[in-house]
Amino acid sequence: MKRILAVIALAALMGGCAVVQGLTQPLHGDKAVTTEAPAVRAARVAIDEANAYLTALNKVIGDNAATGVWTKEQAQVYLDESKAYGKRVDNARELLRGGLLTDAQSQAEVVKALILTLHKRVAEAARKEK
Amino acid sequence: MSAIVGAIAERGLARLADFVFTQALAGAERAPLVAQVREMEAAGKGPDEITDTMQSGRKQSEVDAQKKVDAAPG
Repeated sequence: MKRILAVIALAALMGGCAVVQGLTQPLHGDKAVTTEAPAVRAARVAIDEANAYLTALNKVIGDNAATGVWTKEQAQVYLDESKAYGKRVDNARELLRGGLLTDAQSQAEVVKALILTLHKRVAEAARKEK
Repeated sequence: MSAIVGAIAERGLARLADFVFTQALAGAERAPLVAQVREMEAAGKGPDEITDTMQSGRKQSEVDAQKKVDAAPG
């Protein structure tokens, strides 16, 4: 129990302002060049968000491997999953280029949800190993 | 009875800890990316260029993470 409370306190301190900045702010601001149609914009934002989540996740996976939180095999499993999601995001980008806007957006949104689930699993695994 | 309540409370706290930890990890690593996108937007970069940058950044992060995993002890 004390360990869990300590993790909560530590995580809250570690995150601090970064959490507020990183999670409450959308990736794109109001200074964006918004000449795109709303459907294109929505698909693009979903793709950019998915790429940002994956980049953040890969950093955490690499750091957890480097600091010995996980074994090489454990880290590789998560990284392989992350790379697979990355390919799906690339696929969504191709759909966007091809003008298949609804497909591009829905694919990116699905992958984004999967990535957030993976984020949660990665955090859970890291907490258990610490 | 109190043991059951204690176990349930501990489980709830564990889930809360996971949630807070996830938010901290995601937020801390995502914040620089938000700043990068905002800077590009302020500099007048087009949406395609920003998407290209985000995509290549993600691909580079895969390479960097793979290097760290390869170098990690088995």
